[in-house]
Parts: sequence; structure tokens; C-alpha cells
Amino acid sequence: MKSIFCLLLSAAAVAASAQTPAANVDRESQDASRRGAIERRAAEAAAVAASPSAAQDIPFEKILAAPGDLDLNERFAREQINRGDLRGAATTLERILILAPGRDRTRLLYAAVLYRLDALQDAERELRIVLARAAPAVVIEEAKAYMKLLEGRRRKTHFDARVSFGYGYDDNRNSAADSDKNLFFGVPVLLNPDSRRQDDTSVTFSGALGISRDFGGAKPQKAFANIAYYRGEQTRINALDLQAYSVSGGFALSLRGFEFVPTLGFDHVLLSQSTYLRDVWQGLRVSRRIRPRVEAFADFRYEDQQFVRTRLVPSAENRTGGQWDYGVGARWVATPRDRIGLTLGHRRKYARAVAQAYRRESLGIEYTRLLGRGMFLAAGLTGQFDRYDRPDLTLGSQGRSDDALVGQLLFGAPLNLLWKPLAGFTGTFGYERFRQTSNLTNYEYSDNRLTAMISYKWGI
Amino acid sequence: MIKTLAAILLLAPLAAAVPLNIGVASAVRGAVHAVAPGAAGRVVETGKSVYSHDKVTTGPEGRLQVLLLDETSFTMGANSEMELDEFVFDPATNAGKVSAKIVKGAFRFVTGKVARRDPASMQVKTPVGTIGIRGTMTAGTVGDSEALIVLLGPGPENNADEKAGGITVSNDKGSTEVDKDGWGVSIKAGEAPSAPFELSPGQLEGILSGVGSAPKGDSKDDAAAGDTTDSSSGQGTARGKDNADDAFAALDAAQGDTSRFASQQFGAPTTATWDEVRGIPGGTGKYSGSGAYYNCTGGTCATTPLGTTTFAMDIDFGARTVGGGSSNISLTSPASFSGTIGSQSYANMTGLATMPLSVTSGTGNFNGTSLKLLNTGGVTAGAATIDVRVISSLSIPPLYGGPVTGSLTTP
Repeated sequence: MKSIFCLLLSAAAVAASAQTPAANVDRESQDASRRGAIERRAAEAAAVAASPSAAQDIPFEKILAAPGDLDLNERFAREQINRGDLRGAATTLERILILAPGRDRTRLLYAAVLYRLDALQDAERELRIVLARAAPAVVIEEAKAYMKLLEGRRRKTHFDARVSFGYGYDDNRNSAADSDKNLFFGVPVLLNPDSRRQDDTSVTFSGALGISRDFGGAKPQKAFANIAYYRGEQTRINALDLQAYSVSGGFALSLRGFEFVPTLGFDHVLLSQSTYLRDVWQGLRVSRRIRPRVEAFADFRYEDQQFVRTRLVPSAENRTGGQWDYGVGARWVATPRDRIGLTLGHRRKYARAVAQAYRRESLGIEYTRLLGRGMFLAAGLTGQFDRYDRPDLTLGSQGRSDDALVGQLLFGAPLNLLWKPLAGFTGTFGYERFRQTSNLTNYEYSDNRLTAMISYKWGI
Repeated sequence: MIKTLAAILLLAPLAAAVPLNIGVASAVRGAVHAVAPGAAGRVVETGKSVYSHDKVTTGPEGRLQVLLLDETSFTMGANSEMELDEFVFDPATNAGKVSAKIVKGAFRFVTGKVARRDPASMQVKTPVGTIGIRGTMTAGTVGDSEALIVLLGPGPENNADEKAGGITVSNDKGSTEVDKDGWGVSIKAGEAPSAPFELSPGQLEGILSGVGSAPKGDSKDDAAAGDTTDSSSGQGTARGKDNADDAFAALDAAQGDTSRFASQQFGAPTTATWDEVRGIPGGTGKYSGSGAYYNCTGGTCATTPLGTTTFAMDIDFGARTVGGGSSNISLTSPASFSGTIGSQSYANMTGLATMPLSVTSGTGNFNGTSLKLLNTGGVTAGAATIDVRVISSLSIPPLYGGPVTGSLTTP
């Protein structure tokens, strides 16, 4: 019944609007005989706008009542943008431009909204109109910047590259047991000082190159390939110097509302300059928008992990074997600024030494807050629960069960907010808390990690 | 819910008798007229209501945007005609139905709440086919016997968290889906819709200029002044998502899992002390390993591998001995040496767990070979490194050698 009232009220509002049209209507669109009435309505609308409720959200009924009020529409469009209704904002801005086509800033905003909606043909047309006008220099400058972005997005082949330099600190880089003891044949043995908890700093570098190519067909489908390199140099514990080369490629295919992303990849990891892991993997992600702001996904990944014995890790080969990961989850765009993700995972790790094989159940939740002007704050919490297949008799006859909790906090900001010439650079600061409990004292430990990183990204 | 919809439907006969307001002419330029069934025609101005079953026409300079109660919008260019067939909307649930017919001219529509809730609830007809909606911005031109329809967006790369748009254009001869922005279909009377194709720039401009607005005269100052478009469009905020994704990609590249695994599972190997090894009260095990050997003539070993060294060495933690039993070491091609590792006690050793190794051999002299026990993987003495030195028993160079590490296994 309430619905009926709403419907009737809406209809009544429309009916009323026939008697109370626009204020601040662009005069170009009106003839002189209507001018008096318009000015009266403008005064009424101004009174409404000046009322205390004007600072609050503008109800749609108000727009229906005064669709020709350009300033009201402009404010309404911004509200629509702020709450993520970009399609609605496009309609509102289009309305303003029908009534007042000379509003170049509004047209630029309209183009930007269309660009964000990936309605590129529409956006390009509006930008060209702005660029052909004698608009203020700042408007022209912004229009050119959007045109450049737009031209980049319209390319069928995209390249991007990213480099990052960072510095990190761990307060337990060697993951030493909290107890300073390790089990050996069932007996706790006191670790020597070198094997106890050691903090360390590290310098990191990573670089990545990516290419993607739209197939150009009727469906939005593309192929992509990436190559990445990572290097982390420890200050003291050189045995944990890490390098990784990764190559991957795949396709993003849309079919009946689903997106399929099959990927193949290869990782080569070096520990202290020696090959430590070669890993050929294949993955498949299937995702689908199940609600306007909710995307559900399922992940599958199989890794053929070949661990290589090194001088420092002579038993590495014991870990050689396949690893299967399955995950399901959802991402919810709660507001245009707030994103929440939830993932449930299962892992089955096989190993040459059965004592190194395990099952993992995991649950992760992450939250990202977009702070505006390219800044973000991300937080994550993941629980991992590992159950090993058999006891490691070197340690004792007891089976191994590890429960780990990982908390992460990451803040990032474009550095040109501090200094304009740093456009393209992003600074990130992160904190990670890792805490693992285990029924074997060897594996009960914690680590606190702080990282700072500067990244630069190119894209064409 | 059912009651509500039923109540709305009950209004239909009333609506037939008294045209129901379904929205507003939200922007009008030039001459626009409307006529409701059984009523006289009327001039449409900005802010005037539109009614169900209205037939709306625009003149040679006319432009019109109609905004329906569910926020669906239709925009019409000059010399266009549209009929608002049917509109049912429950604001509480956004359920309803939107149906319109574009009789001729250029048009654009943006779907509203009804189509967002259930895309099948909205249909836009033309004389030659019907457009079914999947959350979308669509435009086109319609003539008496043909139509050109294009999907404008939202595209799959939108950063507005919008589902990518799509349309299905159909008539009694066939049906075509369009899933990509800038692509469309053409339809001719009596024929099935064409396969989807990418519209040429000229075709797109023809449609967009027909329905879009074009300024005349000077640039006008407006309310957006003083604010950057990046900020007001939300693009700056959306860019934060890209930055976050990039940051996570950079962190992923760090192989964090592998790094932690390496340290957690194996620890950074360090040389054990004899006290630590003696702290293990009992049990037996065997170190076994293989690795390259090198030319060590001249005191230091070269870096070019020559052949393979393998070893197996027993350890008895209870008796506090290494070697003995079947413990052995051998070097293969190009050299060919082998020897047995004798039993040695560490009961009274002090300091780091290193010792010269006693190897007896009929073919080589292993003098200078040494043993080092390592704490690794959280295991005291979990690995052993044997630094080999071997020369022909006749003490004739070359001298071979180099460190080989093996891990501990238990029986």
C-alpha cells in the first residue's frame, strides 16, 4: 500500500511540476512570453535551495518538479556521481546541455562521466566540442588530458610498465620460533643465537611489463601477457635474498554474462642467488556480476612446483609436488569509495616428502577505502589453517597443525599531491602482522613487517 | 509485493480513462508536441508532464529529453517521433515495466531503475525491430523501413563499477546480441537484424549529432567553476582503485608466500654448534647429497663444474658419532674417486660443529676434506656440508673439490 502512495505522490509531483517548472532555465531555450513565469519559478526554486534541507541529498522528486533548474541539476549530478550513479549523472548532465549548450565546464564534466562509463564514442564527441570552443584555458587543458586518456583506452593494443623501489623492515625475518627452541626427535633443543629471531631490513625492486590486445570482435575479449621481475636484498640475512622472474599470459573472455580468464604462467625463484623454485602454473577465474554492485568469482589454480636443492636449503626438494588452489569469493562495491572483498579458499599441497604435504583452508576479508585524488587505504585480514598429512619424524611423532592470522594495512597516494613534478609516481606504506600458532614449537612465531614503496607506471 | 503490483495493475483501467503521469519533459528546445489518445495535441515545454500512451514529436530544430519516474531517460533529436506505450513502476521495489516505441528519428536512452532491477522489463520498439535491454546506454536512428542502433555503454572497462551494457535487437526474422560499446546492428523491413558490426566514425557521428546538443555562441561560465573535472567526475577517486591494484600487484611480485615459506619451512641455515648437536639425546639419521666438484689446483676452487660428488654419511645422536657403517663419498667423471667415511666422535668437540673428515680410499687421497653441520629448517644439524678435497693417491695433480650439502633423513 505504501508503494501505491509513493507512486501517486510521484505522479502528483509530476503533475505539480507542470504548474511549477524551472528556475534558472537557460534563456536561449525559452521565448520571451515565458520569461516572467520562469523568473517567478526561479525565485521559488532559489528559496528551496536556500532552505536548510538544501544541504541534504536532493530528492528525485525535486528534479521532476524543476527539471529546468540548471544549478539544481548540476548539484544533483554531483550527488549522483558521489553515490556512484554515473548513468543517472550522464542523463542529468545531458539535460543541462540540451537547455544550456554553451556550458563548456558542464560539457567537460559530461565527457568525463561518459569516459568513466567507458562510453568512449559519446565522450569523444563531447570533448571535441569543448576543444573547438573558446572555453577557459583550464577547461581546454583538462579536455586535452581526457582526450589523451580516451585515445589510450581506445587503442586495441595496450602496453603498460611499472617499476617499484622499496624499503622494508621485518622484526623476525628468519621466522624463528618464539620459544627459541626447535623440536628434534621429539626433544626441544635450544636454538643457537644465530638461529633465533633476527630483525632485518631489505631493499626491494620490482618491474613489470604488460601487453593486452583486444581481439576486435563483437564480444569484449582480449589476450594479455605479462613479464615481471622482483628482487629483494636483505641487509644482514643474505640467505633470504630473493629474486623472482614471472611470465604469464592468457585471455579474458566474456560469455553470457560470465567472464572467463584462463592463464598460464611460469615463475623462477632464486634464493640467495641459487635457483630455488621453478613453478609452471595454470589458472582459471570465472566471475559474474550477480548484483549491480556485487561480483562473485571462482578461482582455480594448479602449480607444478619443482623445488631445487640449494646449498642453504638442502632439503628443498622435499617440497616438490603439485599444489591445487580453489577459491570462491565476492567483491562488493558498498559505495563508490568503499569496497569489500571476501574469499574462501582451499589448498591441497602434495610433496615428495609426505610430511611436507598439507591441506589449507583459508578465509580472507579485505576492505579498500578510496580517499579521493588517487589515494587509498586498504586493510585485509586472512586466516590460514594448515593440516599436514603426516608427522615429520625428524621433529617427532606428532602431526603438524598450523593456524596463521595475517593482518595488512596499506596506504597509497600519488606523490604529485606533494610535488607536481612527481606526476605518475605513487607512494605506498604498508604494515603486515603475521602470527602463526602451531602444535610444534618450531612453527609458532610472529613477524611484523613495515614497507615503504615508490612506484611509477607508464601506460600507452 | 504481490498486493502492491496487483494494486498498480488495477490502476490500468483508470489510467486508460485518465492518462497517468509517468514522467516529465525534462529538457525541451525548439518545437515539441505531444498528443494523448482521445485528447487534443499540446505543446510540450520543459517541466511539463508526459503521460502514458503519449505520442511525442519534435520539430526541425527540436530536442527533447523525457525523464520517467524510474529515472529512465529518452532523448530525441529533430524530426523524431516516439510513443510512450507502457509504464508501470513500484518505487518500493523498483519493479515495473517500461515500453516505448521510436517511430522515427534519432534517439538515445539510458535505462533507469526498472531495467536495472530486471532488464527484461524494458523494451524499446522500432518499426522494424525491438531492442531488449541489459542495463545500458543506447542510441540510434529510425526510419520508416530501416533502423541503425548502437550500444554506447557502459563499456567493460568502465571504472564506475557498472555492469557492461548489452542489447538484443530482434524481430520476427531473427535476433542479434550486441555486447560491445560502439558496435551496433542495422535492420531493414522484412529482414532479420544484421550481425553486429563496429560503426564507422561517420555513422556514429550521424547518430550522436542527431541526438546530441551543439553549442552556439560564447562559452558560458557555470556552476562547476573552481573545481577540477577529475575531482567532480569522481575520476580522481576511481584512480585510487587503480593505484591500489598496482600496489597489490607490486606486493604480489614480491613472492611473499614463497619468501615466508622459505624462511618458515627451512629457516636460514646457520652452522650448528657441537653443544646444540649434543643436545639431541638420541636417534640416528643419514645425510645424503650430491653436487658439482671443481678444479681446486692452486688453493682455490674454480667456478666451472667438472663432475658430480655424491655422499651418504650416518650420524648417531645417541652415540655422538658421525660416519661409519656404509658412509661413503665418491666423485665421478672426469675424475673417479671414492672412499669410506670413518666413524668419528663429537662427544668432546667444542665450538662450531665442524671437523676434519677421515676418509679412507684406495684410489684417492681425501686429506683436507671437512664436515660442517648446519641448523636448517628449524632442525638442529638438519643438513651437513662436506667440503671435499681429493687428489690421486700418488699425489699427482689435478686436485678436485668443493662443498656439497645434503639433508638429514631419518630411518
